[in-house]
Amino acid sequence: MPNISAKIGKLTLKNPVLTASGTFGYGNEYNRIYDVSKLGGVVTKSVSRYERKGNKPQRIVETPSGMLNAIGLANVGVERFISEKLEFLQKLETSVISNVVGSSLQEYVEVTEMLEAQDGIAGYEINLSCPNVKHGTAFSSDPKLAFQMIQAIKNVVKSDRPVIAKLTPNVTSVAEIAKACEDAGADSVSLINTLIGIVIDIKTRKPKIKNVTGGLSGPAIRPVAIAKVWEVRKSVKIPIVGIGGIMTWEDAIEFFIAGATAIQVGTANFVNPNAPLEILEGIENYLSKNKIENLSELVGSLEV
Amino acid sequence: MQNKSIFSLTCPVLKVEQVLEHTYILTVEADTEKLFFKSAQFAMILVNLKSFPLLPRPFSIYDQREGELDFIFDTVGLGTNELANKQKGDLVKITGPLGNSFCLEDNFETGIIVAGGIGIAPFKMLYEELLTKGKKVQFYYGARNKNLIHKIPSAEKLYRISTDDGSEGFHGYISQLLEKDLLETMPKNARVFACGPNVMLNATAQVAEKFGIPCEISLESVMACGLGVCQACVIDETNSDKYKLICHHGPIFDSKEVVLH
Repeated sequence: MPNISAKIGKLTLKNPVLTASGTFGYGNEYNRIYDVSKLGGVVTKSVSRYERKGNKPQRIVETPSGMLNAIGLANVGVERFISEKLEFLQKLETSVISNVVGSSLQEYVEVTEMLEAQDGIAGYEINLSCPNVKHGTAFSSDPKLAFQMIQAIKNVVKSDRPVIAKLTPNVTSVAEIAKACEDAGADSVSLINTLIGIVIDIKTRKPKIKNVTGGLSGPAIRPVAIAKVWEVRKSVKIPIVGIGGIMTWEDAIEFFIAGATAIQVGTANFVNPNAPLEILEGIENYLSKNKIENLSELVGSLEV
Repeated sequence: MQNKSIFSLTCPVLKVEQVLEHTYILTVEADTEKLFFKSAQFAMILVNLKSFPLLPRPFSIYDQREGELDFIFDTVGLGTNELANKQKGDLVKITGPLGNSFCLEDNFETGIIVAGGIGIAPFKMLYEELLTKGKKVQFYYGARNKNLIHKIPSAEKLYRISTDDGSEGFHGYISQLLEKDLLETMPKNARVFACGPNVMLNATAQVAEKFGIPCEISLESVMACGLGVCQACVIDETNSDKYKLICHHGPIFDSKEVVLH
């Protein structure tokens, strides 16, 4: 059996397949279909300081090989996350990564501090990059702000839990932001979040999504995501978690070759609920067949 | 720690039968011990195993037999048009059973079914279930015109029909026919079960409320997952600042629980 564990800071994931925030709820939903403990980790729906209702509908629309969403970070808030959702997550035999979001630096820090006091959380993914809320991407568009945010969060994280900065591709240079996060002490960066898009109903001349713009995800964005992973790989030393339109194990392998240490499955969960498991199995088979003993040998092995 | 209650299975198509101009019944072969539906529950159906169209679509269960599932649908877009053209042996992916079902435990005597258009979907199974439970049934069915009335053989004789253009039955909306009938004869201990467009559900719920009859409505929405995860299918909760999820809290709601727009 090849070694498929993946190291993110001081956290060792038993395998490199994670689920992307916002596409996997709080884990319990998909556990009705398969044993989610088999995954390398579960990244929760974003958790904010206070409960968020989210945007008005219509919130999603299908696009060619993708979908546009503007949910608006609807979530139960950190207090209800701790009282209602965490117990289930704590029972999982896999790494639970809490995705943290806020509308100010202070809120991000407060949420992280509150989660630090809880058991059963293996790491934090800091959502610097939601395109569907006001100022959602500010922290991920300006290297100084990204630096301040990650530094402030690292200051309150006393445990060994890694801090992963989730980055938007909607910037001139994602590599520059990634470098700022690394300089601030981030243990890892995850990318890409969705690409901003609009779909118009030509009969009504209105946007199909009430929020006007939404975040594009799905296989349509995969080549962009792979290019960003490759670009960031050249500018930082911390591990990269690759995200963007991964539907099959072949897609995941592309991300590893481009430079991702681990990957997240997002939109594919909606299309094929068993996708993360099938991807995991496919990765193992690929490594075995190609006599690759350690997944890490594949990471960043792109030949150009 | 696993609580397996939902299944996502690749199923071969057995047939697609056209029943009205734009209405079809899809029959698939399925492991019905796993994919076992209560009336009004729904499935997410991925119409092919390619990435286009990308997302599965929600469909109410229409009927089930051992090893077979039926879904009735109108062709409205990319997904349903592809589904209408499926051949025997083509593969679809079915995830289910999803959502809640009508509440039949209450002590009521008469079930009043009110369907609008393709809103007939959950009522074949409900009708049979009501009969099995020894309930009286009244069956209302509104359509735009006489060519858009789907006949459920076992229930057809009960149909009270309205059409928007008056080409068959009562000329007007089904809620108006229901109101007219209730003014004449008020069944004791009744319960309304309605499914159809939101305007029709709204009007039906108002009639039910006027006569003090509890009313359950079956809703639909654009959704990506059907599992309470994607948060696309929100609907306003009554007297609250919160949303309910149609896939997770529904698709069946007490008409007083939610605000239809």
